[in-house]
Amino acid sequence: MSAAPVQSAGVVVGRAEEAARMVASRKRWDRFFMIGGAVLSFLCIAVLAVLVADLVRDAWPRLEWGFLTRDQSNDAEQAGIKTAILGTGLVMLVTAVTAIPLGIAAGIYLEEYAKKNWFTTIIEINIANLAGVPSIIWGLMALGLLVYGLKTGQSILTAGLTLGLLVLPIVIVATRESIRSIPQGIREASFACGASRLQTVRYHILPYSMSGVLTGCIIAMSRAIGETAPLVTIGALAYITSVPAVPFSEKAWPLEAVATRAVQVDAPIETGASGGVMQFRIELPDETPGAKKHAVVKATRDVTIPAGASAAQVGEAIEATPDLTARLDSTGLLRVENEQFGGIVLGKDTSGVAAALAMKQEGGRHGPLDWLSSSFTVLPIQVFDWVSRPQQNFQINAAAAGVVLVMVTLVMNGVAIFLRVRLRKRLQW
Amino acid sequence: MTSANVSNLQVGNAGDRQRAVEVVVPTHGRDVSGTIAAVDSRAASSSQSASLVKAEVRGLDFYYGKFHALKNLNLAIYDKKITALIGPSGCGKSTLLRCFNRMHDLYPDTKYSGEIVLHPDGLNLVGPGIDPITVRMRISMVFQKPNPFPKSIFENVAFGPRLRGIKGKDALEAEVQRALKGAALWEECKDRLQDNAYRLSGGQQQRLCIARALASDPEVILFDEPTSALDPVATLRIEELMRELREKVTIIVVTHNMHQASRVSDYTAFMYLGELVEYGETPQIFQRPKKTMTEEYISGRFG
Ligand SMILES: Nc1ncnc2c1ncn2[C@@H]1O[C@H](COP(=O)(O)OP(=O)(O)O)[C@@H](O)[C@H]1O
Ligand SMILES: [Mg+2]
Repeated sequence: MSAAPVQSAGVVVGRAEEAARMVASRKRWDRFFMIGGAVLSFLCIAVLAVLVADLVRDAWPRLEWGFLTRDQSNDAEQAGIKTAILGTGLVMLVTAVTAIPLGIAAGIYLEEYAKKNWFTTIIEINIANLAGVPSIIWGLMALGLLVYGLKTGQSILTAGLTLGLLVLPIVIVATRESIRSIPQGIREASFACGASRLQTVRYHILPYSMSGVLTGCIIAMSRAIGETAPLVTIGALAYITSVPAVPFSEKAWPLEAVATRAVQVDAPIETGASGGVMQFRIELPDETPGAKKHAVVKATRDVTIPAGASAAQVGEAIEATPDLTARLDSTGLLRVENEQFGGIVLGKDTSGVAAALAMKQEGGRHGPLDWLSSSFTVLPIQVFDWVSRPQQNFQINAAAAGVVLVMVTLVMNGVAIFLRVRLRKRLQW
Repeated sequence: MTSANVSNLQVGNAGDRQRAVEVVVPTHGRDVSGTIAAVDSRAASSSQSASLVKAEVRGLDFYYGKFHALKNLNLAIYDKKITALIGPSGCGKSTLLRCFNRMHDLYPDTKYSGEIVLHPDGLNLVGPGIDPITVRMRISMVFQKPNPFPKSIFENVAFGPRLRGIKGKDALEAEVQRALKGAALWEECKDRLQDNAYRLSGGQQQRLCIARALASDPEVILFDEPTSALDPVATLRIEELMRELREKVTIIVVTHNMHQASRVSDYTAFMYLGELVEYGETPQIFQRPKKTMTEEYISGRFG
């Protein structure tokens, strides 16, 4: 009779031991994962920190305010990233203005309006796929559709639209996710009060999804800001001396076409206007053509062309300048030649020059949106350009521009996190 | 056929928003199929005067896709009374309730047939040409889970009036105050109108939702298990409030709780599998049910 309790007590003891064993084993695993996870996280952060520190060390000599505000130059120490910052800012503006409203509208449409049918299913699948398309493909698309098709040129507009399309899926997906997190009860409450679909979106859906939407927009922008490949594809320039057309500013000589061609043969031309006279400053490299890409400037020559000059007069003016000869070649291009660095092409039949002169005579100011068709460079392309130069000095510039780019993206992501935390705090259901 | 039972529809004073139609029902509520289950108010000792009908459900069928959720329902909702819908889970109480404010229109593949006629003007709430928004402007709803907007208390209540084009701080404040008083919430939150609604307790949130429903100045308020997420004290306050609201509006309440139905309601409809089994004055349903199924349900033998 007394055996039964002892026996059952034995069972209990056995169970307790087993339970203790199980608990101990689980605790071991817990510790294992905790330590492993901590080590891995630390490693990730350490690698990142080392990379950033290395970049900053490389960039150190250039990390001063002037670097941000100086124009481009062939002298690494004199070169700054003003044009790249301006270009990045303006391209991002176009990207934001196109991608954000379109993306939010599309997200709202898909979540709140679209009926579930094969058509919307196809749209949804495509949006998911678009987010995964390599960015170079977007560049090719933009080249064919915008540059060649719609003739938007190698401009800020083209770049902004390209990047806008590139990040559109990100904005759409973020908007949809954010909208989906709003409980259905909130929608029903709004409708039950007599609100229309539009009023429900306007007063509830949009405000309550704002934190997610804004976060998505910022993530989209920080993705766009670092994109290089599609911009190279559509022909962004590394070397830009002119700032984009400032709204309502006085028109300068539209000689970008001329300068572009000059750059192609490594002889940068700076152009400027004074009165009714056009001036080229042609910098003569001290090395033979094609030997090195970015040669050191040896001499400059100013060419002064009177207003309203004909092609022949332009030619004469160039001829009159020491070391330079001008001729129309067999294809009708005006070639400027120099014994040392060979030829540069100024333009077909001097049409660029003639147009410039005609425009200058008209006078006038830029329209508010003329900057859209300006050529541009952006930070990543500037980095890319400098990195590809052989001189050590330009590597420092590249590192410094890289630091600026990293800072900008870090700040954007910081803002995204801040917004998410701040706006989410007010939302609870 | 339908008008045979509900006869002599007498329209009250023209222009009076609260007017309703007097119904003289010669017999007891008959069998559910085919006729309107109206209650002979003169025969029932508990009612003081002849009840007016606020809404009539006539031959209502409702489908979720192919699923036939409501089957040929007929019943009269009495003006400024509380009508409770009871029945086991899934019998279609919420579905019926949500027909009254066309909530089903928000979702695809739903279909109404039959009529819900709102008196005094005879608007068919589920008529194909009727805009759900015009329906919801007159009939508001309180949901099972308190669902205030994540905005201030003030903005929650002001939403309905704003939708109706009321502008100006003073006018809106007056509306908000009236609604909050109506929902017995004014004293508790008159000093914190700008606080986020989610800082209120669950019971207060539900009363805020009632205030929001009241601010639209509705003719009918629909309650879908309004206390199922609340504690007993908050539940009692809501029930008390519903009794007070009965002075001004017609109330239809879905409830899972038999005691609640018997405590609060004037009329009770018992539903089962999408059909109306029995409808009558609440004391009659609970004390002298005519159908054995009703009796089994209210005595807790199934459901
Ligand atoms: N959106 C829907 N789609 C399909 N069937 C539904 C839907 N909502 C409810 N039902 C079905 O309709 C019936 C009635 O549901 P409901 O009205 O919610 O019941 P209750 O009486 O518990 O409120 C149930 O069988 C339920 O499964
Ligand atoms: Mg229900």
